[in-house]
Amino acid sequence: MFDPGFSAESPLYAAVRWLTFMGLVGVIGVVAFRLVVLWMMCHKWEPAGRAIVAPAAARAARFGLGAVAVLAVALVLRLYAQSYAIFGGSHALDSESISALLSGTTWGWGWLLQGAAALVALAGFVMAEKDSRMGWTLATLGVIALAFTPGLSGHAVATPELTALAVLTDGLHVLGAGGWLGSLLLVVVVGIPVALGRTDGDRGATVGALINAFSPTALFFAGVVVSTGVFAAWLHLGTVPALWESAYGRTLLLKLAVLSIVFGTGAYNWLKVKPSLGDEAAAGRLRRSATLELGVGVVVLAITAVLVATSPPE
Amino acid sequence: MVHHSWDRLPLRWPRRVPLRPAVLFASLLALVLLLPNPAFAHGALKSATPGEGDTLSVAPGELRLTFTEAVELAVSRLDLTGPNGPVALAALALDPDSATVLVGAIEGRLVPGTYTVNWQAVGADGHPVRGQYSFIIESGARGLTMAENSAATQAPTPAAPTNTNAVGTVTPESTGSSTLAWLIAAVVLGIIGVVGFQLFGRRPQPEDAGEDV
Repeated sequence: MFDPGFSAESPLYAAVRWLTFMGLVGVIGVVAFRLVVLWMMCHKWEPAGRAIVAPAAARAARFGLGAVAVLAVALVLRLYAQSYAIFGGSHALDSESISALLSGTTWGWGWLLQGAAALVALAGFVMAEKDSRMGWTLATLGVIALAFTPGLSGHAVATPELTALAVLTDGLHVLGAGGWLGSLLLVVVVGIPVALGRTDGDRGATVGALINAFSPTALFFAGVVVSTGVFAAWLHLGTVPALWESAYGRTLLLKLAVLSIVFGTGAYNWLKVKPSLGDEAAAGRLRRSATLELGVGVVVLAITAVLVATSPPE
Repeated sequence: MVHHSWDRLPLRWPRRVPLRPAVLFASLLALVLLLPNPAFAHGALKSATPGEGDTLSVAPGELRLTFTEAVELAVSRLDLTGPNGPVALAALALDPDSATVLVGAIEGRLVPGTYTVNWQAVGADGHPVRGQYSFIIESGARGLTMAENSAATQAPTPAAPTNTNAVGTVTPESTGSSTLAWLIAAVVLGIIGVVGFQLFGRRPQPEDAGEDV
């Protein structure tokens, strides 16, 4: 047998995919935060919005650099893991193996596209950090391309029918997840600290404006996640009973259960915490509950890393 | 009474929740879920020629494995092992009429006895699936020479040719591609270097405030 004792289902490989998803959500979140949240804040909630746009954008670009670094490490680990799973440990690092994997498979083309898109995003974030508009355009192009790379190395591209639609919705699903959880991450680690660091205005009002700009963003991207997720479930499950009769379906149910906690936390933030915003203490409460939401989101990404390697039911 | 600027912010729950579109949206999603769809699983071996457990009176000229999904030729593998050890196969190929059929022409000498086929197929999603099965070539089967028939009664020769598909269809021409691995390593190191320089290698500059989007 060719069995190398390591496969796409192995926990270590799932951990590598999880790291990839974390990097993807990070870079997508940076662009969503800059282009949607900060844009809305600047144009709808003056003057609080205008005051933090430039420093928040610069800090977001720096965060984007970190996310690209995570993605780069995950990219190398994923190549090694895939080569190990196919060729075994003794041949995993052979140049012949790597070459065959990258140039002769759809997975390889997806990997190369991910590398190229990460480079474009990197260049974009470097320029954006220097306050270049072109930098954000580049980063956006790179991020959009990045969002479609998981579909090229997963179930979507192997779908026998509606393949193009499957890859398209998979990319939108990734964009939705990054736009929602990623921009929340940026609100927590960049937006709120910058708002609370203001020395020239009302910090509480600035945090309020930030959250008012974030809420419709999160709702939109969460809607994209749900609708594309339902389509993917239909495509891969086939029938409703497969949801509890197959390993794929049960993993999906687990993901939905944990995701419902994220939704619940988000709803709590929206309905309970957000209306109480106005001072720094409320901003602190929001930051804590949003961090909890992000923590559960990280678990959702881990379950997703397992789900994408689980065989759909026959 | 002091009026804060956040008093003007619409922080309250919206009075008119767009319920109808939401219900319509949820109903459509539920309807989609209820529609049956021919789902797919990871690839599996559907059939093979020679097949599992077959006893052949004619020596096969090739192995022909049909999978449930299209296979990626570059990383798929076939090994054939007989009574005398590994049997050489030509470079693997896909059936011109179907990307689900993997074909390995047999180049090595066949003798009567039990043969084991080890296979690995990788689908477009990159997930490898593997398996093995056996078939038997009868003594005196057509397609075997007299010398080969008699060889079955002799001790196995250890110096049987190695399968050329031991690591897929990698050809000798690709051995110079180690530059690719170095290139990848250099690019990744470059990314980490640029990120590191940007994050830690520069003095923090005063951030402009008040610039429009």
